[in-house]
Amino acid sequence: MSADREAVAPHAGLDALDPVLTSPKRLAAVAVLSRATSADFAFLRQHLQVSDSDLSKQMSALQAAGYVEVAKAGRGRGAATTYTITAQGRATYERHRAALRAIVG
Amino acid sequence: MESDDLRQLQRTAERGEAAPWVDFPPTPAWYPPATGLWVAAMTATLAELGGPLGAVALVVLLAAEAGFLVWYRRYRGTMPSGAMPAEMRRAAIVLGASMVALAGVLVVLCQLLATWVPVVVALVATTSLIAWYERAYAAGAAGVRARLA
Repeated sequence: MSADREAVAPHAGLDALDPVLTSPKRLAAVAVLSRATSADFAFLRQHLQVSDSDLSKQMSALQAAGYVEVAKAGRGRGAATTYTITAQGRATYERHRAALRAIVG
Repeated sequence: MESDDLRQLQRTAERGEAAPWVDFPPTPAWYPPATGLWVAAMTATLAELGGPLGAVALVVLLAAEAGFLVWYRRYRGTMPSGAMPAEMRRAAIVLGASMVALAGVLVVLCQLLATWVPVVVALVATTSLIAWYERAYAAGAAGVRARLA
């Protein structure tokens, strides 16, 4: 990180940041899902501008944390993978957003 | 973590929250007239058909709407929920109010004139309103994208 960037002073808000969501890719995915009934794999890949394998990795991490649920329908080319945010994921995301707002302003 | 990183995270979250509303494929050209036809068919059904035939027609129309929503969700890749971005809200309010007003006009026309009149009014007015709304929605979405760029 560059030395000329302003370091954030120790702040209670930093403790409220969720470690899983400090990754920009995972934060972006959960942010999308927080404002959608669900989103499919292709939509998230397009928004995050990542490869299939990278998105799979990020979504697996979110699933392991209990923040998203996955539903798969069909097989082959017509198969669809859809993600939905969980209640725990939503609550964690809202806390994370509030903490970000409190710190950054 | 430095303040620039945190600001970047905040902007990432804002873009993500807006994405289901503003990232969408082009709306098919048939959508406004199809919606107009649907409202016209609903008007004709409610005005003219009663009994079992009317009930069947109603079920068919509602099933068509449900089928469209399923298709549209897959086409779009997502279905937005929660608060709409401010740039797009006005168009949604105008559309909602206009559709309510149109419903009132159609009820009056059904009582005063032959059924074909409100059916044609429903077709033309709904098609025009939806076409306008699609343009206004796209303009609002462009505004949101510009704000978050």
